[in-house]
Amino acid sequence: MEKDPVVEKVREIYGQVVESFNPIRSPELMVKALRNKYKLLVKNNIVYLTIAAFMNNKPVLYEGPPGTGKTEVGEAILSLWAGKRAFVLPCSESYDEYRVIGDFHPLIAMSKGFNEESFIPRPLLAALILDAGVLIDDIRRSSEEFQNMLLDIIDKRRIIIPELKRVYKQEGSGFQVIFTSNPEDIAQRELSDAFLRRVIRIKFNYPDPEEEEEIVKLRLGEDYELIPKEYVSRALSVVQYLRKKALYKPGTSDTVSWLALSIKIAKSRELNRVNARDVVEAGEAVLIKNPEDEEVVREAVEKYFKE
Amino acid sequence: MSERLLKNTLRSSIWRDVSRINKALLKLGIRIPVSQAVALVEIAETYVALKGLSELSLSELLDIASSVYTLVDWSNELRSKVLELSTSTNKAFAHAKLTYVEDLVSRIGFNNRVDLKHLLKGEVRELVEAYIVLRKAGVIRRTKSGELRTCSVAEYKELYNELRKIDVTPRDIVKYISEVPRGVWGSVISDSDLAKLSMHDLIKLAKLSSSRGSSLNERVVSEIIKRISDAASIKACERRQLINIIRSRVKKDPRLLLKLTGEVRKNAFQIKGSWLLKELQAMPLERRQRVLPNLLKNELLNAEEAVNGLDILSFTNAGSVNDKVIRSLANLANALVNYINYLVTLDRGYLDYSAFFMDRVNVDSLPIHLRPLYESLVKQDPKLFMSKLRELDRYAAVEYIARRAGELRSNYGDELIRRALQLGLRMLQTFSPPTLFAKTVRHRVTRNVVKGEVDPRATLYNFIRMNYAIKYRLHARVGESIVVIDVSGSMFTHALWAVMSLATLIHRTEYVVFFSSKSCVVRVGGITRWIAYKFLKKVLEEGFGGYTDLESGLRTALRNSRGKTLIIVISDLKQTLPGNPIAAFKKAIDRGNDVVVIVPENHDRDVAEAIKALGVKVIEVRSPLEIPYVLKSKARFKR
Repeated sequence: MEKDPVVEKVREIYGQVVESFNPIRSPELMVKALRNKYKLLVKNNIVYLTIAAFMNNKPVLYEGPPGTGKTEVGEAILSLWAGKRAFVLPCSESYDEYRVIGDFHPLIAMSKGFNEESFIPRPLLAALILDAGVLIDDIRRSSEEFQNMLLDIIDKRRIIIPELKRVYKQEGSGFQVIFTSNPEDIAQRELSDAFLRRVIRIKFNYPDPEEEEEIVKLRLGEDYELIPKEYVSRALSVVQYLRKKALYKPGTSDTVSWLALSIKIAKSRELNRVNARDVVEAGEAVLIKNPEDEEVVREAVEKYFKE
Repeated sequence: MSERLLKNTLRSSIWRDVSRINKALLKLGIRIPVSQAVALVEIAETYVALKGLSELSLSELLDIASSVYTLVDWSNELRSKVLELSTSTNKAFAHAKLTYVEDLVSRIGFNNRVDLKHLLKGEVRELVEAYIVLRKAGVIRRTKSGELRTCSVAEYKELYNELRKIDVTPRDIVKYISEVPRGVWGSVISDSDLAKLSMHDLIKLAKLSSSRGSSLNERVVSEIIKRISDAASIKACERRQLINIIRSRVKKDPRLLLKLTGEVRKNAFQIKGSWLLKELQAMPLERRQRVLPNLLKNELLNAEEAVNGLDILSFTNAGSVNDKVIRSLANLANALVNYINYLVTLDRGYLDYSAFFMDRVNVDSLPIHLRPLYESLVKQDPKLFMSKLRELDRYAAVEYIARRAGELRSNYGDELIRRALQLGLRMLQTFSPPTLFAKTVRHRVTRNVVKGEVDPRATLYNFIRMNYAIKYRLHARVGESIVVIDVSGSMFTHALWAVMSLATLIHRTEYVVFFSSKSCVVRVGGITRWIAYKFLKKVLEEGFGGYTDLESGLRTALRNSRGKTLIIVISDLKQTLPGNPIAAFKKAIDRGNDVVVIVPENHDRDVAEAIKALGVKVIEVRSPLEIPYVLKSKARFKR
């Protein structure tokens, strides 16, 4: 059988990026792998529902405030499911089919025409051909045309390239799609009913203080011992407070970076344990993302770390 | 297998909960698209299978619903409202169910034998569901001896909390339906239950509910036809099984062929015309007249086959069939029945009507064997007409006369009965056993004589001529059996054929007892014509639709019997007047008589079972045409 030059091209270009390993499709094992391999603490329900959706060939939409781990969790689950590293497409308004499916090199196309030789495959087509997962990040930022184009792909599981007179279909079950979105973010579009009807929506929320502490512990590893437990719980209280009061709501990732930074500061000062000053300094550096929040952050940090 | 079973069970319970959520949302003004409801069931099923759960709680399902129903703006408030609405219906449902369960338990009592027949009154479906709940919970269980018994009070108390959790699925209904009296099956299994049944359960139910004419059977058959037509959703082996079921049903009732859609019928049922004709001949005339046009229009029966194989009276309704010969036959048949009506009533209106149809008969397209009949009608010569009709279709004509006499009696009085009787007798003037089984009957004929004392004269005559065999006198056999024939409306065709077939057994029959609401004894004395006369008289005078008093018929037969006798009963065993036929049968058996009962397919099965237990031989015939055969071979005279 004659080899498809587009497939060959995809393997040549994207084969370097996609590492293969044994896929994990059991939800229990996946939860363990997420914890051990990716240092992610994911609620069981999220994993079970995502896998149930994948088994019914339905795309999943992760929705929630920033910093709740949607992208990371999505990428990790897609990678574990397919046994290949997932492709991540960070959406923007200018995203169109040429950026995700494929494009023609203008100079080659002018000399040799619109054919396989001038065709440059892009990640969505690559994922379909290589049977890997795709994470489409911040779908609400993309244009309506882009969303409509995706409808056909997620429904029929195929990509048509009219210029090449070719149709590529999903062959394995590894090609799954996760979208992420943050409805509260600025400069967002509404998702159409047609789009929403086709996806399974899973909501991500800020974790409870106990869960968050567990996540921090997991992400910091051995360094976690360097911070007094009391500081950790105070830091968590600050974060909870800011989520209510501040314009920029710190996510779990911010909490982790805050405490990691405070450890680094302490280490740079050659201290064995983190003290309150380090935490306050690191907090001000990490949590103030918005000039309007400056006062609130300072007030909160001082309130909880006043000795 | 167990995996499929689990899937089915889950599917049904998840569906029910999903519909509860949808209803709750609808109450709040939110309508859910069907595609999303289906998606929810699919996702929930996969979720349950992944988690290895036996069932999904409503709150968990609601969590999944909030992910799948993406068009709904879910808030905590909405979620709690939906949960409240859906569980409140659930509670009411469980409470109602438990009421029936408790009611049933209180009526049966503990450590008692369960006899559902006397318990199912009023809300049958709910009571049967309650029974199934009790069976599933183990409150009612089968003992080693096969009896169904309730458990003890202590066990019931232990199981009580479980009762609320048990749901009754359509699958359970099929599983336990055979423990429920047949009479209520139709009201227990609804159309929606049938639609939800898996293919395996549907086939099982179809095998259980095969009795002709029951409403459930008809609904099961419709469901099967629906599934066969939807070829994409069934496997080839299941389709084959379903087609086999339909084939067996069609054999019992050819009218079913009309329900089948063209493609299914064409591929699956290549019916032989000869078989269909035999089935048609066995039907009562009225039904035959109704069915024939449809069969012809749907090309299930070839026009030529129908013309050659059926009596002319069957064609009365076939005027709309697009075939020259058939249309001509239909006009002739209508002219003929109107002429018969005229002969019975002497009303000239019928004669005019007959002439009207005669004008429309196309003589050129009339089959050659019907020409003499046509000519006799043209001449309007009653004697010639009757002799020609007798040659062609005497049985159908008698049936028609009997039916019309019953219908017209109120308008024309008793004089009509006398004329109908004369006409009927003329039709039955020369008896011969019914033609269909003539061959079988002919070589089975036993001699109607018995060996008597030695005849000295003949013996001596032979002796002189070197023939040393002793010669005996021969006597006609008499008085060996009594035939009891049900002449009520439902049994007319069977009774007519029984009378016809008695022509060959006449020397062995002492009495014939005709009974409907009253009994009439006919002493035979070797004259068949007399039986026919009495039979017609009884039928015409009583009319159709009379009540049946089987007990009185049997007791009359017993009063007239001498010593041990063979009693042959031809009846559907349906006692419609107060009385206990089983007791009468017992009395007949206790006296040392042999009792043979010939029943049609649609008979009272409970009575049949009870009398079988007494030692009565019950023979079921599928059509009245089998009666002569059964009389001659199965109910053989052994004395």
